[in-house]
Amino acid sequence: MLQFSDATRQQALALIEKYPRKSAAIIPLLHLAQKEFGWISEEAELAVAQLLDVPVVSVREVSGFYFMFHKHPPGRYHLQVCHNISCSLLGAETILDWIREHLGIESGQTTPDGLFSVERMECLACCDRAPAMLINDELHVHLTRDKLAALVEERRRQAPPPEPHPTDNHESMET
Amino acid sequence: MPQISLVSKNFQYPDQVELQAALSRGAWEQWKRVLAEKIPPAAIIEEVKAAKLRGQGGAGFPTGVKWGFVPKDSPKPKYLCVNADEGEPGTFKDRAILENDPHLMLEGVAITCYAVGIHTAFVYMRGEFYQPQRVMEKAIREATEAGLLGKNIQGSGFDLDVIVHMGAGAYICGEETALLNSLEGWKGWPRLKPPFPAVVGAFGCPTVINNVETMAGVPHIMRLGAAEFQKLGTEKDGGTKLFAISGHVAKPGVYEMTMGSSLKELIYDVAGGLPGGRRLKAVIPGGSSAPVLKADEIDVPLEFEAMAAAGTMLGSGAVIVLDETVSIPEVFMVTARFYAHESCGQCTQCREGCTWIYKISKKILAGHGQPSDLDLMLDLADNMNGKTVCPLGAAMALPTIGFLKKFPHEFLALMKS
Amino acid sequence: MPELTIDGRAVQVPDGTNLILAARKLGIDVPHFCYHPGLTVVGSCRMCQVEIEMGGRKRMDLACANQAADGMVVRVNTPETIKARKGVLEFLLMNHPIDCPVCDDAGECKLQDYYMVHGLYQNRLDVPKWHKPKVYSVGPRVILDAERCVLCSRCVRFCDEIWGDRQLGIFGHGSEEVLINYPGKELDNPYSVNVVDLCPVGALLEKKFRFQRRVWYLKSVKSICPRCSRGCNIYLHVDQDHDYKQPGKRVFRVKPRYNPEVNRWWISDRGRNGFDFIDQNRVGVPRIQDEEVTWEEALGRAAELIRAGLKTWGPQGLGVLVAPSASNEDAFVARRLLRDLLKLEHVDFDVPSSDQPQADHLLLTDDPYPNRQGFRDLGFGPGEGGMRTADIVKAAQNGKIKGLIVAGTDLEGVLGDRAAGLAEKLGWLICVSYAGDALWQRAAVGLPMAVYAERPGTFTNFKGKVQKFEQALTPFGASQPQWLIWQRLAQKLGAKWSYEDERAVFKDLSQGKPAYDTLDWFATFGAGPGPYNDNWYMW
Repeated sequence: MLQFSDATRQQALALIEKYPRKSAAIIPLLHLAQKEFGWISEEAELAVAQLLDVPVVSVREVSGFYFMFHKHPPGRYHLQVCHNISCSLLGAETILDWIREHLGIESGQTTPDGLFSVERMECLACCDRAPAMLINDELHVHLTRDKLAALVEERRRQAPPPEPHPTDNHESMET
Repeated sequence: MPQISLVSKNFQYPDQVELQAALSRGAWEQWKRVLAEKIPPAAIIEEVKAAKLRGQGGAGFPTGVKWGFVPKDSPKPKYLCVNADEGEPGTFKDRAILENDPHLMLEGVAITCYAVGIHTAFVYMRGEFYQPQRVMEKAIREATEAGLLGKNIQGSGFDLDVIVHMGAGAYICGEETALLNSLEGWKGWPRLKPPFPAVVGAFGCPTVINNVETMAGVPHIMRLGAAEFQKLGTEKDGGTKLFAISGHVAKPGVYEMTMGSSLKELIYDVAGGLPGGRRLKAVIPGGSSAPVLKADEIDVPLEFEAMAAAGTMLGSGAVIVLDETVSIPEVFMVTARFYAHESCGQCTQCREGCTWIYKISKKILAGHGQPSDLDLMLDLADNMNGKTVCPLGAAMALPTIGFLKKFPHEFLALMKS
Repeated sequence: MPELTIDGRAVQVPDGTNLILAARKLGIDVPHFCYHPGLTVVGSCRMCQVEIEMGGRKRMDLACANQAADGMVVRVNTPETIKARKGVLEFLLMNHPIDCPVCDDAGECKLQDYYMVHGLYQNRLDVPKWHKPKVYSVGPRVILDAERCVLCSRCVRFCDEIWGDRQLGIFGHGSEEVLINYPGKELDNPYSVNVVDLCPVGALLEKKFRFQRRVWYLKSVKSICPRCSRGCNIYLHVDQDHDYKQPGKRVFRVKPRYNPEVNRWWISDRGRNGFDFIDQNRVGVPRIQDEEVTWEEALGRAAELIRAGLKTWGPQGLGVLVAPSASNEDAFVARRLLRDLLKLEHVDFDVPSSDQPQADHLLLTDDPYPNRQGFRDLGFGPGEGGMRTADIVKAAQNGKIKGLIVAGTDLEGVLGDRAAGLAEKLGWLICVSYAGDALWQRAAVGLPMAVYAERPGTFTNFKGKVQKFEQALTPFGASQPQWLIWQRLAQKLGAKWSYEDERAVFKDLSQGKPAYDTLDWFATFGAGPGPYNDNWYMW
């Protein structure tokens, strides 16, 4: 059985306290689980269900419904490229082409080294700065093929970030 | 010039997200006044009604009237949910408020809660809003530390907790009852109405659900008074509106306009027209679910009724400009792909219809379409429109009808025979 | 009591009645998939759209989610509502495999029925269909074909709202979502097969019934479940005319029959699976020792043995055990013979069973027998100084009881190997039985008995409710109803009374007993009040 770290567990208990019903903490706890384990496995679902005393079926209904919960481990850098109207008009497909050409992956795939994964995503609500994408929790806008190449290269050069997932850095990286 | 700075007044200051800077520009003054002068809650509701503030999330329901539906004598707790699940393609005005002036929205939240008798407010924010989340959580922390939120605010005896609740990626949660289910921890499946959220909302309790921009208008009503605020707009539609304009324009962005300014002015005078000297082909005027307007149809006032009369809708105030190079069948496919992806799966016509239309749109782009596909899609749209639990079915049906009726030749051109 | 008009006919219904139920009161079926009167209203299938006119305003809305109101005018079939429903049906069939010939639900499928009404007659789909799990076991008794599923969520709501454990879920998002169980966690609650009744299409099917019969060959007979003391109202689905599979099998399945006072729309899996004994290991010819004989010979020998036993050992040397799986008619005639005529003391019905149900919050009681209360009401039991079952068995084992009559008991199941030994210690054993068990093999006289499905009768449930079951089958071989066996034996032993049939017995036994007297033998029964069609298990 998968166990949350003590720190995450404490965070989870504090979150549960905020709501009038325990079930309301399903999504927040799945976010915590994903932060800790990188994706939502069956074990993670069971751990969340146990902490909240809700049926694991309900937890899976939620984890399967919301697109942000990964059903498989993503790459260390998860690229989410908006392909909605405004981003499409201004070149989203050329961004996805670059990723296919240079990283060899399509939406839903991960590079063999586990460094990058890519996913098409719907509107990010920054159409004025199209085309836009997220790399993990950082928003990148006004993308061009060159700009993306630089972003990817920069991440390749970075030393492996600390385990388990590089989402603790909450400094704004928006450009 | 129809542009005006009210809600967006302080977007220009990078330090507006800090409490001290915001206070120096007048933030929270109306909230303090409400408490100091002990303004009766009912008077605030009347003021908001008289100001003709309408919901800025897309539906345009009168805000004060909505507040008035909450039962006064309910023994249950009441809740406010701020809808910060901005996801309608083309819309990014709420992000602008959340990232640039969080205290303005929070002040509106506080006044609203006071007026309706609410002590817990949830800000339901879409999961991908990492930066707005950081800004808002910091703002709440600072406001609480300054005694503007929390327990016994300003010694008034009034308590208010504001909790940021992050979604996890599902457009449907912007629909208010889906938002409630999502907040309660379930799938974001919309609920049947009645009962309406004002009576049975979050956790079975009376709940007010208001859009971020609507909340941001409330302090201005208190500051200007209902009459002044209303005069900024039209008779039925008071105040200002944030428009988000994107696509093929020289200066995409968020612009605040008085209600009733024209779409043409917004595109050409405010957003700088089309870049590169290209000609306009079409405009999607109110988010992707609004039926498209052709280039010669854009001289229309930006307010709920006039847009409806023009056969489209004001929606969330999101304008997407398409120049002459755009392939309408491609834009249509992208739109259908979005609704097929986001249909929640609860009710039949939307779940199956969005996917079917998307599949046909792909088939046409691949050169395998037949002229009869256009009639088929129009009929499917008719079978969806207005027949589903929530408006998502219509949100697919209306642009389908719009694109196919206004640009049939572009689709036919992709067909071999 | 609002009065409204539906399709031009006026109807009055109780406050809070929705338009589907109001229409049903007039015999009008409003097509629907997700609505079921026993579950919460979700309004997700959108099939029940009707035109509602109220205060001069017309609108199209759901019949399930709108309540009848005074002056409301409802039109079920207008060009608009028919088109709307046709649209829903087309959307539902869009990803459906249309595999009716290999689907067990054929004949009971709402998609089939509604297609007849709303038929499209032209396939407009030329894009690929989804593929989802097929022939997938979601639990020990239920199998899933997710491609046939219309995502109505009835099964999910049943598990959640009625049983109280969410064992099924709709996972995923949009048109890719799938109704299924959680990996490693099965749909195994004791009421799991109700989801098969609830499923309006062929997505959830009963494993036991899979490919057994086409449903239109099944005869549906009103019966009472004999598997615990609740007395759930059921239909027995039988077919004696088609022998193409499993020769000799006559009962194919059990379906719940609505009764608001007893079981509502539900039955337990225990009850649903409890019919195999009807067609298994049956005995159909009377026996003396190992030899097959006529009824006259067998009854004559039994009467001789009893007479001789009374003379040699006295009433104290004889014991009788009758299982309360027998009907009130059986118990009443047995009492007249055993207690009133023969004056036996050691007569009991409190026999154990090897097949103990587990009581729960829904329907199941902890009593394996359907008619213990009836035996009590009819005064069947030991005389003064008479022994109860455990002592009778003990006395038989240590030789104090020399002659034992058993009827429908499960001594083999309870005693195991000791059952055979018991028979050997006795002077004689008379066995009234439907099954060829160890006691039957060792009986001095064997009298083959018809089971409840093979004759009419009544059971009294643990709350004292008297309910009638109908005859579904002809008795196996030469077997006879238990009451008739007792009656014929009584006549051999000098009784002057005789009943023509079960109804005559019931008429006599119900004298002066209000709970019994009020049952009308010929009435359509068990439907209860309300606008429900008695013959309706497929909502």
